[in-house]
Amino acid sequence: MSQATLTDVSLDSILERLTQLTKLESDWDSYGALPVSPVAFVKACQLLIDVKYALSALVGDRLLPSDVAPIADGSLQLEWRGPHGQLEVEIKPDVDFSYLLIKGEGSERKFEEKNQVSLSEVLNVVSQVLIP
Amino acid sequence: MLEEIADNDLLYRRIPNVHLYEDDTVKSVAFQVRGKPDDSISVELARLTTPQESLAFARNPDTTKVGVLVAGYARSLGFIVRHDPLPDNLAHCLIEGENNKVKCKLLAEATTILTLPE
Repeated sequence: MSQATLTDVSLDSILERLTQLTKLESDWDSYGALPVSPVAFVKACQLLIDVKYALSALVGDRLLPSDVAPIADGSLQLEWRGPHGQLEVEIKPDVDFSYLLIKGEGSERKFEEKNQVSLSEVLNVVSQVLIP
Repeated sequence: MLEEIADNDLLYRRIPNVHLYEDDTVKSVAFQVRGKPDDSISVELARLTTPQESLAFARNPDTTKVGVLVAGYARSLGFIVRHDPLPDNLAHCLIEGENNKVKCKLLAEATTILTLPE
């Protein structure tokens, strides 16, 4: 099986899903949630582009997040599942990212939670999860 | 009158579809709430309401489901669970305490989505 090249991997579907989330109105969760922040949306798009450029040649279309979700404070979450674990990255409207990395399964499962991390740290942990 | 919440009491939380995976399991973000530093998660005491009544509070009932979790499990994560009746919602309770992403993940995994009759 051939490895996808940079131009093969399209972000269109995931960007469309993110765009749909920006259309959620206030109180979309019935507990007073805020709409998705435009700043968080732009940061999420930029993160996806950065992940594509960093990892496309190595992991092909596995670089695409397995899930995207809004958070009640206007943030967004991108999730990746790979051979080395599951990663949830929170993209806040301010300058920071945070993440939860889950490795292993069952009683052997280990959690690593970090707040106020940089874009380069996020790219590093996405690589950890996705690169075989 | 305030109700004592037993460990085996069931709690309802409305979960919007955007917080569900395709297999109807719950995403951790369903338990990330506004309001820092006092982390508190609104739920309802099952024995004082019904899933249908809980769903009626949803802005969009067609795109919302009701999840159920056990009070004792939330307590096992270090949260306090207490009755907090509101004028329009006597079943309202709060799960309170220091929250983080790991606890949100565990709460989500312990939540089961109810299938309601059409």
